[in-house]
Amino acid sequence: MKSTEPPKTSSWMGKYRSIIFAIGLFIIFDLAVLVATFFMSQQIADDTAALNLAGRQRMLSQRIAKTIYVAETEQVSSQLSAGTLKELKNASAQFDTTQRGFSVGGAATDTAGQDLKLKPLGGATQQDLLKQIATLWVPYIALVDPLTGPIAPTAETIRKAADYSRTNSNKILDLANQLTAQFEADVKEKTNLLRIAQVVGILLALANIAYIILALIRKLRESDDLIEQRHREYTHIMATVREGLFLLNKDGTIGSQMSASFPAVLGQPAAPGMDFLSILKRLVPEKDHEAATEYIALLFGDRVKESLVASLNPLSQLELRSTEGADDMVSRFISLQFSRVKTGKEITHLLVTAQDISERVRLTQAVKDAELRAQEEIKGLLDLLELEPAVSKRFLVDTEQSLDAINEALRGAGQTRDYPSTISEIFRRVHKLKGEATVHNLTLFETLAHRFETILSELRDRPNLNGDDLLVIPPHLEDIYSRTAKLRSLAERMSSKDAHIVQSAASGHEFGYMLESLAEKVSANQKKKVRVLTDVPDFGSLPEAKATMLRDIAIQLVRNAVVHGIEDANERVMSSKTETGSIHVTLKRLDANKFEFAVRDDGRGVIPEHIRESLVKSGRYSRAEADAFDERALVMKLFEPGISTSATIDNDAGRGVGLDVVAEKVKAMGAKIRLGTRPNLFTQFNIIFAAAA
Amino acid sequence: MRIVLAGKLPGAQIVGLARDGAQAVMMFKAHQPDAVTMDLTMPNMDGIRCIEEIMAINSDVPILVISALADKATAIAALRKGARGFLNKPFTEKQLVAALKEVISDE
Repeated sequence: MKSTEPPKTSSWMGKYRSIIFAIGLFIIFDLAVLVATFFMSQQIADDTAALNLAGRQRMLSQRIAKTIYVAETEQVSSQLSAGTLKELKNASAQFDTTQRGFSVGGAATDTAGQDLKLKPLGGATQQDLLKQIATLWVPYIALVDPLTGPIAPTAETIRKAADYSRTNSNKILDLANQLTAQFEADVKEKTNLLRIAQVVGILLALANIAYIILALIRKLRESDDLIEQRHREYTHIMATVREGLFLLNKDGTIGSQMSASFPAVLGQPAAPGMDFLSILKRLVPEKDHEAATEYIALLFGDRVKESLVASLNPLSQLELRSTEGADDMVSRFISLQFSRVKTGKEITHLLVTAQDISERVRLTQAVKDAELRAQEEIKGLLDLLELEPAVSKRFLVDTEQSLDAINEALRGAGQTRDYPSTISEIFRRVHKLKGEATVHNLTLFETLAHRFETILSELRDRPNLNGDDLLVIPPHLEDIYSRTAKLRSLAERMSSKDAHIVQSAASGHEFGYMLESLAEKVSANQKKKVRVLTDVPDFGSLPEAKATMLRDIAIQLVRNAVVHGIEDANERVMSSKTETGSIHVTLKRLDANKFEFAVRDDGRGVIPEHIRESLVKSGRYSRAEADAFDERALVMKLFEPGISTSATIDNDAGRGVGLDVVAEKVKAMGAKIRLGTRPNLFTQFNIIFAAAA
Repeated sequence: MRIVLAGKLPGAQIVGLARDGAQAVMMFKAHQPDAVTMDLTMPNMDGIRCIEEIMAINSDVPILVISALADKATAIAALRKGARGFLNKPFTEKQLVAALKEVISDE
């Protein structure tokens, strides 16, 4: 299963950590500047109020002095007014309250008449000035207070206050001026400080903003570069990857991105947006297409476990056939694999991977073939080792001689161009080899010969045979050659080195035993019950060449008798016969040099109509031609290559080669052959030959 | 299978072994198991029909289909009917236990 979640290796917190830090710093800067400005503004506001009050103190000091002088003048003229005293009282009270406020803090009223709370002045210079003012003010207020009390002041009281005022009023004014100037300097200093703080704060904030912007731009560029790089890499991958890759949408269409090799892997046109199942329909049988459709629907559903259904993928190995050249069919194998792609928990796509697995399939098949070949050879070796060393050695030598002869025949075909005759000759030799292999129970050679016969049979039935057609033969020939050589080498190493090649002129007993073994094996294959009775005492006295040829004839005739002559048990019982069929093999000496070899079975006999049907079936004779043959002519056709009355082809019969081999050997022996038969009673072959030419 | 599961899936208990599909459905009704393993080839009632019947009773129960791969289409049809997973025969003990764990897991 694939996931489209962002990679966990770089979280966005880590990615933008410096920017987040800068933004945090920006906020802290701004807050700090704001707080500093607030407090400094508050201080400036307080100082400005104090400055105003200090200025008022100057004015009050002058008003007090002026009022005292007015009161003195009014006293002299006996016109002292209550208004003058009241004004003096208010002025002195305001001055005194402010003076105390500056010194120890306390409530006061500002120049607008608003109540305010004064803090004690903190500066040393200011405190010093206040002390100097207090030094002058305390005696001053002590002289002024009697003037503003409930009892009317005397002229003396007023004069003393006026005298003190004339002496000290200007001093107080001067000190108040200095205090005012000091306040002005403080306000100015704090204002400058506030300005500097604001400028620095703003500059830092601007720098911070600039850093954030630059950092964001850098990050954006890095992201863009990364996206661009990934896109380039992705494009390269999709352009060069050998596998077909794409995302399959839920509606069955190919996603917007697809690897360039996909159409080549598939051998079909394919493009983003095309319906994948429609493309698939052209490649697989209807049943597989339905299974694939269901399988894809399963994967898009969330019920089944992806890992538990992968083995059911009906497209894991597809064989695609195409024609190359004239008639050559070329097979390719491709594999289509599907993986779920999820966004969150939702299955959004299937990732489809298409691979050409032809090489892998071929290698797997090659390994299987090699294993099969090795098993066959081991079995072949074991079969050979079960034989007498001399017998197995003779078989291998005979086999190699037969293969040499086949090779020679192939070479000769190039000159004579009589390809049908060449095929017949090779067929006879291969059939003889198969017969020998059957006799000795050598399954490997029997199988190899049978495969070879299948090829030969196809060639024999091919019209207008030409030299190129025969090119399929050498590989089979080479196969049997190499296996024979290998087995011979192995057998020689494993068996006695001093084994002698047995002479074909074995004893009559051995000859009879060989034919009985052959009949037993073939009848087991054919699921029939057969008994072979042999009477061949003079076989051992035959010259080797004649004995060998007679042996080949006997093998074919006994095999034919079991396969074609003897009926199966049920058929025999229906025909009032015993379940077990009998084959009699005899060799009689007719005179000093002449012998008669006979093979007789008590089977169904030769039925001319069956031969007639076989002739038509072989395609060599028309129905009219076959109908024109009399019974004798029909029976003689059995000795032609490719004519068989067997309905099926198996290891034992059906190729129509057995009697062809017999005819060839009879001719080679200079012998005469007779065939006698009666339906449902017997078939008998008699061969009369001279021991010496 | 009973022996395998007893050792490898702690807490798991086999509540019934059915001889055929019809018996499987009856036993499912009786025992209401947490999971079912099933061969597709059964006498009396084939696997597909059996899955349909079980799904009609409890559509949430996880079913693990155990069968040969000869007929993929039939196995896929079984999964379309509601089975959760497929195990190919023959299988090892390890494969069976892993498949059962997977089929009963929530993820």
